[in-house]
Amino acid sequence: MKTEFKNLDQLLKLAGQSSDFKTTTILLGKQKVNIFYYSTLIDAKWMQQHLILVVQNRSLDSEIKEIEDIKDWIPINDIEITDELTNIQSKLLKGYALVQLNENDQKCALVNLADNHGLRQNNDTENEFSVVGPKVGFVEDLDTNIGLLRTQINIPNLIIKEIIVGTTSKTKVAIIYIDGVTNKQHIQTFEQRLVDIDHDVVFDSSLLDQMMSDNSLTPFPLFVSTERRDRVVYSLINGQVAVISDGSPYFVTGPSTLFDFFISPEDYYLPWILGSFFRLIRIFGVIFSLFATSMYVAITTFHYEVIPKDLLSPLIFSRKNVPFTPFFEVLFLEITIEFLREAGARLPTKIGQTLGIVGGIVIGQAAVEAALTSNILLIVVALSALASFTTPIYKMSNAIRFLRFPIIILSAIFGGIGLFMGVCFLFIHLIRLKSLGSPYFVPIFPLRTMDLKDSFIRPSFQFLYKRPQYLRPNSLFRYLPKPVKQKNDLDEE
Amino acid sequence: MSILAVVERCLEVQFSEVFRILKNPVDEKYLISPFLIVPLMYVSMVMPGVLNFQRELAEHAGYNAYISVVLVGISIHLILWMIYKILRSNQEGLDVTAINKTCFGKIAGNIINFAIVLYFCFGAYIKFRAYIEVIQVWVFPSVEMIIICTLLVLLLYYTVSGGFRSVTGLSFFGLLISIIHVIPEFSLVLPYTHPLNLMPLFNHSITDILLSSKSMIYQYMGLEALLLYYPFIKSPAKSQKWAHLTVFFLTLMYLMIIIITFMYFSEGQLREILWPTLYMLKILEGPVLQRVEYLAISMWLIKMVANISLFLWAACRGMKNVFQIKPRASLIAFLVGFLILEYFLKDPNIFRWIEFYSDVGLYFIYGYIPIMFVVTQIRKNWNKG
Amino acid sequence: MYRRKIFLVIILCAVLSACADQKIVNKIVLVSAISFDTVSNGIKSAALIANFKEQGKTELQVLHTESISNNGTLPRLNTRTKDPLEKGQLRMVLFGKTLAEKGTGTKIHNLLRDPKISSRLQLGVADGDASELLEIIQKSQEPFFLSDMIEQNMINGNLPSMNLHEFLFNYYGEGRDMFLPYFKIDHGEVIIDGLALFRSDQKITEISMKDAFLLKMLIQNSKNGNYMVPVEGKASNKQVEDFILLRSMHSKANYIVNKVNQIPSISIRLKLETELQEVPDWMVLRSEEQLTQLEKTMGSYFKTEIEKFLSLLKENKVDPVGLGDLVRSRSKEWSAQDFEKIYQEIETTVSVQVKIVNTGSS
Repeated sequence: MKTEFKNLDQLLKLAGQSSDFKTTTILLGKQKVNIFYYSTLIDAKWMQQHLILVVQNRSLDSEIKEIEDIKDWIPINDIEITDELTNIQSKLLKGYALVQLNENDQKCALVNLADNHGLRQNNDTENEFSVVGPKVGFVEDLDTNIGLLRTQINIPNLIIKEIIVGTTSKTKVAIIYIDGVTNKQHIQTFEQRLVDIDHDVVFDSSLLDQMMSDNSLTPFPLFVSTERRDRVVYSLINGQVAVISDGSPYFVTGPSTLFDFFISPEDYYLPWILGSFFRLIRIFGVIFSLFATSMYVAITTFHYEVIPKDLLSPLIFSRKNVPFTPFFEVLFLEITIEFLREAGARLPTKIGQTLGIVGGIVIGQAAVEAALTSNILLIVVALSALASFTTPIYKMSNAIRFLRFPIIILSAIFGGIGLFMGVCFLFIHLIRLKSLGSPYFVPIFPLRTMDLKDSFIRPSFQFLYKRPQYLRPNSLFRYLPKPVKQKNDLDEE
Repeated sequence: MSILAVVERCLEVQFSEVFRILKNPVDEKYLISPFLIVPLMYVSMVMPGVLNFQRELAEHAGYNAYISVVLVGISIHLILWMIYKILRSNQEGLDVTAINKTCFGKIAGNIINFAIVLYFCFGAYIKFRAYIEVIQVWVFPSVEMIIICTLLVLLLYYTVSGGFRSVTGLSFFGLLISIIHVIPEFSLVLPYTHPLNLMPLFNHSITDILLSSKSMIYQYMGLEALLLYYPFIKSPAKSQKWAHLTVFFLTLMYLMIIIITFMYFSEGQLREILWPTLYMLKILEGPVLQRVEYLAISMWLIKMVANISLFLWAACRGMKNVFQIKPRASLIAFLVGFLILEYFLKDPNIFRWIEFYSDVGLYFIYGYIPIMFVVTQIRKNWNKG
Repeated sequence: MYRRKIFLVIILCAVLSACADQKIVNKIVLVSAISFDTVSNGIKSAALIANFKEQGKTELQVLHTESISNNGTLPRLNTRTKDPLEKGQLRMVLFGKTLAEKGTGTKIHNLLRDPKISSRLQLGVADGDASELLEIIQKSQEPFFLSDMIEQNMINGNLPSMNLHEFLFNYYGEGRDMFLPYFKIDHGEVIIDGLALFRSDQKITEISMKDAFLLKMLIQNSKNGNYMVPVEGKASNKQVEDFILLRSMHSKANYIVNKVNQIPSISIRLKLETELQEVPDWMVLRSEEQLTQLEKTMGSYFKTEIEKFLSLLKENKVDPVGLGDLVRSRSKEWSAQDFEKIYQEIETTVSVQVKIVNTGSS
């Protein structure tokens, strides 16, 4: 949908069809100065004060001869003189006003009057919450976001490259990396992939995420997308590349690995023992939420032998009056939970909370009493839903909740064998996945023993001085490790 | 010559060859690091046989059969050393199909290559069938196996079509999982063992022990897949120590399993039991799972899929090298073949098939490989002279 | 896209047709114990099944069937229940006394062959009719009562450790014989009365719980076993003998094979650490000397008891201790038949060293 214009007039004519494209004419004696702008994109007050009044006052003195003179007496920095039509078109759409000294002049001045209205002021993190640590999140404005980043990475090595993506939206997309740290190859791949994108409107960075993805046939997010500043800073420091589109509060960082999604910035704010413990809890939560219900299906449908004899009585009793097979029972409850989650996400926060209580307690209790499900299953499903929400990145927890269903189906067909077929499929899938051309399942496969230390546990900072090797950073050391403390003798302590 | 001396010599040879700069025909990005030969070799050798090799092993040599394990282990070290010699005799980075062609000419070489491809394909089928048999006996006695087969075949297709890297990856997880569950399981069985069973330490004749060794060879078959995936190893010279380490570790593992089995079962009891390894697990009781053997069989799936897909991969690779057939096409052909065999051979006696396969493997390992070794060494010296 | 559709169809077919082997846990009837008895024209078998009625409450039911053949109990019982019977949670198999004397070989062999049967299954012999025992268990409302009772007595009492695996080990192993717990009905309750000793698959004799402790001491650590040692006291006016009740803390048996050929000779050295639980009121255990004296008398008492026990075994030609296996492990040439012939003539010398580690608080 590209229209070529022959001259400025044609462009103005097309733009004039919109009702918000305004023209203000100022008469300076004989001279008719036209100002064209989209009234919805500019700050009207600002324009009145700094453009129109200045021009009118000026006109008392003399006429304006040269368009270049405007630069001298309009108190706005961002003024460009050009006759390039594409430039004029894109600038107009970004909230610039076009000043034309005489009618039919091709060379005009573009004055920046853009207004950031409609953006939120509050930049608390909305979805990735943490108890300890800063709560600074990003907003929908690119410049603010980059400013936020710059305050924490305070070196000129932080490089920002802009690319325009989207044939209709013409969104500014920034590629951010730290020069001298990030491997050039990652930057190039990212840039190439962004340039290759052919899409009309870029609504959000997560759209870019999908369009840059190595494999679209996967439920896993291949890039971390985050609204937390500390997380983005951490990935940049480690040698990853961050990408953000204008109008999105989410940064996309990559190349990512599976483990990146289970790391919460909070791990680094807590003592390493606690940080490690919580991280392990999170990983266990993922495993539990993936396999708990399918194990229930497999055991109650096929392998009654494996139920410990003391558990036999409560389990059979709880399923006594349930008319469905365990598979449909599980499906019923899992889908109920998904309904609750989806409804909770769409509703305003306060109603969402009420709904959670209503859904969790009332529906669950009623379902058990109506003998639609067994209460043991209710516990299992609720726990596994809870466990899936421990994942810090929302996209990943979605993927995990989705993956439960195929595994449940497999274990409903083949019991334990089916369950492990699911595990096998999952393993192969993860092995085959790549994020920005680098393996997704690193550091487990391919095994990188050096990078393993910051995966399952969060080690003490004296071991974290090296950047992850799978990113092949240009400089390996983040900081110098502390010299080993001389240990006192036991009796002198 | 002791085993140490053999290894030492190998290392010496390596040093001289490291400096030979030779081109590897496989693209750099598909290569795997030499360490990863450990899971590949482990997975290719450990197969359903590990669940029931004890009985056959004890058939001749009784409870002295642990000696056979050691004997076969040592001979496999020797064979492995020969394999490396064969593969390095020629230009670096050629697999056995290429070596066959250069040694025996194009037509004769390709006939041998085709035999090798068939051997791998047959091996894959045997393992596939053996695992299905385990499932049928232990988990689903009355279910139509064709359904499970279909899904397994899909799984195999997904693995092998991911290329050598995904086969290696799955092997890695197969190794990881078996390490995670084998060691605790067998150490938990220890309280139920009777060490007296092993005594007297030596009361069978050498012939008996050698006869028992024959059945042990089946447990090491799969080693020969190295002949085909060798070019995929980055700096293959470095991988030799890992390969020997794997064989050594595996021999230890077999030794551990066999000794624990012998201590666990009385000799008369072992004769009655078809799957001793699984039977041993039946004594264990977990907190959530009362019967560990079901978990073990299910977990085995991962290793089995890795094992079968490695063999299938080798067969496809061979087909590509011999007939220039696209691996994807031959893979689909093999897998469909599996399904057809599974569907029409209603009750194949798996133990007879295994015996046949094991005989063929015996000739392959102790016949073909030494012959190739001699041929390639002569050729090498000839060319030098 | 086309290929993916085929996959989907295949998977769908799989889903639809794979519902054959389902054993949904509340749609099956779990058999927790089976008993076999001989009747005039064949075999009578009974199965204890559990209906889980309310939370924590279980209603048990005994199903009976008779047939001329040895096998096929469950399929026949299946005709009497709403849901299929399943033996995967079977924990107890009981033999009636007459059946045990006739031979249990086929039954045991079938237990070995069935992969569904747990290795932790318990076997037992009932004094009289085994199905009567099940009828009594039925009232207890606990489906695993018998196996739990055996397991409890293995840990806290005189029963040596046993389960299906150990039975099979002894049954199929050369140079050792099987022994099973022996149940009796006493005042309408089931009690473990001792052990039934087998030669091959036939019950030969039974021993009391007291002798079971001796057997336990001979084959493994007899921890937590109890034993009553009679003492001759000063208060000899009374006709009632006085006893010391001791609890084993730890024991270890050492076997030394002195001679292998012709007639083997074995010396058994036992070490027993005990705790005195109950002593007669007149007994003073203050000084070291008194304790050593007591240790000595108890040692010699155990020695004579074990010798008596061993001669009982030889008399009956049963070998639960595994003396044959012991000799086998020390000799190059050994055959079960030859050993059986000389079993009664084996020389065994016993020495017992008792150590009192705890005398109680008095």
